Amino acid sequence: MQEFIDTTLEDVDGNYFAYMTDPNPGWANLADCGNFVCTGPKNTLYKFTNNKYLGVAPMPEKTPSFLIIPDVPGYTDKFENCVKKKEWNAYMCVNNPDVGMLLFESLDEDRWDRNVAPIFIQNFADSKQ
Amino acid sequence: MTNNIAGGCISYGFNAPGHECGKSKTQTTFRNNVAHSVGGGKNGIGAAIYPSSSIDSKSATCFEASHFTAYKCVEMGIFSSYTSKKVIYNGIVAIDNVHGIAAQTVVATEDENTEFGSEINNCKIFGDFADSLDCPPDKSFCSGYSKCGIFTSQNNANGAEKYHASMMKHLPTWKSASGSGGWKARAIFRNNHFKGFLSAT
Repeated sequence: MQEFIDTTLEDVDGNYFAYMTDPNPGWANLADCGNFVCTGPKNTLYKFTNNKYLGVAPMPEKTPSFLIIPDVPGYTDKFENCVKKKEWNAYMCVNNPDVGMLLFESLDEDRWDRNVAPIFIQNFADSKQ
Repeated sequence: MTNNIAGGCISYGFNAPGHECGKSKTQTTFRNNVAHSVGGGKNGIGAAIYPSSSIDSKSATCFEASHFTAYKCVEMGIFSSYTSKKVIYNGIVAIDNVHGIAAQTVVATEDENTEFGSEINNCKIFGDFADSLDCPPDKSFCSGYSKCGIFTSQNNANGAEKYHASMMKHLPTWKSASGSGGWKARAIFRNNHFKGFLSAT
């Protein structure tokens, strides 16, 4: 998670504001992440709070506070108040306080040697699906 | 080290120690220096800032770099990726560097659950300028780079990794140059000014 607070954006074009890189398919190898590509770049969150804008702004609304999350097909398109930004390979979320980072870790002794993936989490009480 | 200019260097303009955190207004460890046109070799970094226990005995907990300017470096204008709980940049000016600026920390594997991270505060980060005079009108010897203002922070737990099977050291999911992402690491950017990012190059 990268937190940007009180940022001034002056003459920043929306086409070049951000780009969330996809994982490199070449990372799916024994030296890196085994049979799966490392998905770290898809598990990121950029949080902007109290932006100020001068000149060309990256979005016409000049939104002071928003989130950027990577485009994960079949997942992020279900988030409320998030709009796809093709140029960013990402979604921009406004007024969505529920988005955050959930971290969990195996405490097994062999956690560095044994991968459990992929993991799917469902919240039946609030699930939209 | 104050008031120096390093230009046209191979790999690094400066390799300099950080100063005590919170002393940016008065520090003279590394102040008002400028690096530009750094490239070639394996790197192109304006200044690599490292924690120095001879400068500050608390540098393993926090070290800071401030009041430095870098322009037209083929990698980061300023860069740090050394073992300390926190690195802070304050009052840096970065202009037209290919990979912007980067503040990263590394902690030992046994500290992966402790709080550590990076801060970039009060910096001015410029993209390109339409009226740049560096290139001739026909652009004959200028190369365009796809640039960014911030090389986003990786704050990793690393250490000797002697308990890890080397073939799986990047598990569970994070792909980084060294070690795994810290569970409580934070990357904070406060009161920074980005200007002139109107194209990709």
